[in-house]
Amino acid sequence: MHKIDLIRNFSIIAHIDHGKSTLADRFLQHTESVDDRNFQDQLLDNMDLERERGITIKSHPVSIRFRGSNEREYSLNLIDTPGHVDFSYEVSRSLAACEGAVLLIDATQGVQAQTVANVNLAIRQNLVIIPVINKIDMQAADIDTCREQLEEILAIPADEAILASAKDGVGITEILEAVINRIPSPKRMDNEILRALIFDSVYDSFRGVINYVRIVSGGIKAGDEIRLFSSGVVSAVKEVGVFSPEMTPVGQLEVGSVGYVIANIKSPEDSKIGDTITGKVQSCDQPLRGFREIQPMVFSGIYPIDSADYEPLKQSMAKLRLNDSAFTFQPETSAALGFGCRCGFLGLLHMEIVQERLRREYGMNIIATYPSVIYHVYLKNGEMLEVDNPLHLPDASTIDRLEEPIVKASIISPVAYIGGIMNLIMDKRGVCGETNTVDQYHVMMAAELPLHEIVIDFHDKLKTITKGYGSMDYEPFGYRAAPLVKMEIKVNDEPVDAFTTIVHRDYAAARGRQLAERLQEIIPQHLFKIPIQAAVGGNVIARETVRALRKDVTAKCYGGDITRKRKLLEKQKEGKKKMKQIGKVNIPQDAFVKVLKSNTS
Amino acid sequence: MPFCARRCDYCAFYVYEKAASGLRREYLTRLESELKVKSEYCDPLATIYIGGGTPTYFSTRELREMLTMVTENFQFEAGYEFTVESNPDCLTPAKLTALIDGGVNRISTGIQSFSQGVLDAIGRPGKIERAYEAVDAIRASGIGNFNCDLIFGVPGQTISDWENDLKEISQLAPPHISAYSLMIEENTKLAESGTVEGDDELLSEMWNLAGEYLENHCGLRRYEISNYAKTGFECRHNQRIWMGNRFIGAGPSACYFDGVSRWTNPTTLASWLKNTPAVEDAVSSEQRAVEILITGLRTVDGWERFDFERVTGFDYSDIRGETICELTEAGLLVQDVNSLRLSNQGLLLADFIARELL
Repeated sequence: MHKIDLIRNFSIIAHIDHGKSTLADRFLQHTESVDDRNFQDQLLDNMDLERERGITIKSHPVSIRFRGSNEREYSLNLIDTPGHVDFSYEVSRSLAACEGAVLLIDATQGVQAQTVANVNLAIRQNLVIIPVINKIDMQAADIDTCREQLEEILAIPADEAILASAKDGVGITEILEAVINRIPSPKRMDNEILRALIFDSVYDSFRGVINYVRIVSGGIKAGDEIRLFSSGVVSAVKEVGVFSPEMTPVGQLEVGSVGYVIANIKSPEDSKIGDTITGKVQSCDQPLRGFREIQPMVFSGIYPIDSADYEPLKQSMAKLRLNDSAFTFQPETSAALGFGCRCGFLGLLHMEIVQERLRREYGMNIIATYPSVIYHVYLKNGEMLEVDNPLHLPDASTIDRLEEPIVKASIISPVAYIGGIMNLIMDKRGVCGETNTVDQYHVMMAAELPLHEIVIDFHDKLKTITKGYGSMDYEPFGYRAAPLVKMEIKVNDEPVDAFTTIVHRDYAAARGRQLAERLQEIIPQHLFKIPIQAAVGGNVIARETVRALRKDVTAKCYGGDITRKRKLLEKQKEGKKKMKQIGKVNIPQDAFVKVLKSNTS
Repeated sequence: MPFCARRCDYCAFYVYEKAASGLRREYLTRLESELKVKSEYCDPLATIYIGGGTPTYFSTRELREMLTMVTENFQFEAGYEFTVESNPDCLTPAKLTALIDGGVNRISTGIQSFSQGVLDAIGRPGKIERAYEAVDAIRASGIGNFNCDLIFGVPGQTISDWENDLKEISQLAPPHISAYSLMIEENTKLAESGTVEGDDELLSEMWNLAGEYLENHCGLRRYEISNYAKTGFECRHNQRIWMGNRFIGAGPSACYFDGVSRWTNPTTLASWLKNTPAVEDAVSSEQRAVEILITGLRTVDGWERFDFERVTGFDYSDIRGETICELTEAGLLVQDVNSLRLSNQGLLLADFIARELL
């Protein structure tokens, strides 16, 4: 038997919280890939942010050795995938490196909208699906409904489903056996020319670019000369290895396997996810089919708090982009905020994650502006402009019409919340489409909605309305004309361009009031009163005032208090430095994100 | 002195409720050795202050023992000031006599409020009548220099509730009043219950009312942000600390200042009993000078340029001239050729000003 026949490459498709990380942990423990001493929960979620939020953002491969009941030893490569609505792009590139996928369904929650989207993605890529119904130990588990959903929504035979409890370690062996028996080994290639798919990469300040690869043909070892197909960069391989689960060097990565390649690539820009690595001398003629290139849909400006940090910020963004190619950025300037970058994201969560990563991993003090989408602006002279920054909206008198991006959303929810969801869709200027029954308890609703409305807080509100049981997925659905206007926000009589937004004319007054009220809560009191105004075309449509600070003093300060007190004041002073000064007003860094998270509609 | 009958809801100190007599004994033994060490090379004391906790929570015998430790180990300057804090609930005639016998010539007593609602809201049970009785007893004992603590800005307290407290205290006519705006500090019962400090406009109104009322009805002048006194009855102990003088301290959480560094004893009784060394707060001489500038500015009269230079070695205009000018322009500081003080508005914004100066 050839070595390649003993390799299986697979990933786990699951909705957020359905137990994917726990299952991955069990695989590692069950196969003794990590000893118990080094074990910590959610081993694969190595970004702090991931453990904190309980979600996986970055896909993250690991190699497992597993002896099957046929007494053969297999090498299983698990390529982890994220589960949130913003990250279907990450899912698609993880799937491109696999022949199969474990579909994990929470027995208490059932199939979620996003899972449907990801399973369809996997089926389109000809992956074998192994359905697993997890959390069967829970009291609320409803296995029959899950089976019904598998057949009705996903057209997967219910009898293929494996019952499991990752928490209690039930069903783990069955899943691993199914992986070796149902998922095919990687295809053998006729030629021996190296072709490796880069499905992810990270930047290490000591070692440079580390590419995560799937070897499709040929093999790769230290000392080889390689070429990156699209950039043409040639470089020598310094180290190859596998994830077990830490990066472990090996002599050679052979055909079919998954691992990492460290070459002499120092510049993040030279390495592109989806690119093909081939030999320098013996090169392939065609690159491997890359992934669906996804375009960012949400845009926001990111600025350094301290203008001196502009260059370091750009460098940090370049490194971050290396393993998050869906994130884009280009320089822009703002009257209020100075030099910064216009950044593109897949969605609001993606935006927040990128901001958090810039802060935590790169130590940047940043401020982000109100998010926007790409508007199509048709001018009277027949020209069409794409505007991703409300500031660049041309003068209203020159505009013939404005079109905004629309998405087609599909929402799965328990029947009881249909009314609430319909109200939400209408509040968000959406149009309800057809509603289909999923099983006796659930429906799948279709709706067309302006993307901008989804960007703001649709997902959070959906979760609230459905008590956490509703789920949503969406895809672009073209552009549609709407009576849109530019709304400006003035703080202390100075326009803050970073808050400028494009809104529907009929919703402008409500949105303006909401923004002004939120800003009134967020902007700290100063020694003077601060008027906050929302205006459309010079007309003030909402007004709030932050009262002048009257009292800022500690009542007691005696001999025993002085040291503690000075340290507290110093800390508070540091906190103030982290705010952005706009005119005479200090605005907290997170103000621009916080204004979005309103509780009112 | 870290013992109390009950910890108040706003109290962030490490105090021990209803401590057993054995623990109090351990405290006194350790205190005596600390005082002995610290009394070596110590100049005669200008002021002594025993605070807590509730020093008068001690039995009369323990109280006498503690006071003897002080008087036997230290020399006092002529005209010294010796203050002990007390709670009206436990200030018995016998303890008053013990205090006077021990050289105490100033008493501070925590009345806080004459409203049952306010006392309940801050977790200070006790009969309001005790406040009157305690003040009468202090007067009768011959101690004319005493202070009453009041508190305002308690959740639910209105401006007229506060005016009523001021009216009541003016009947008692103490020569000194400390009136504190309620602070919600971490690790207090109030903070845990989610209580927040009151609205800044109401608090500043209450503060202004205190200043006017105590001046007009009691003849007390505000001489520090929260302190009011008849001329000559200011608390010299605190004045000296605000103006950057050296002091020693003893007991858990006690602080002391050697003119260069500040030191803080271990905060818990247990670690202090184990002789854990004090922690030094060492900063540059300029930072120390700014810190002293800030504490001194809490007093209404503020700084004389030459006094500040004598104490810290710096001219405040050299080290913070620019900020001082900005704050003066903003109306928060009042500057004369050779003096510097906070304006009336500035007193209420002393922390803001401090952050600017730091």
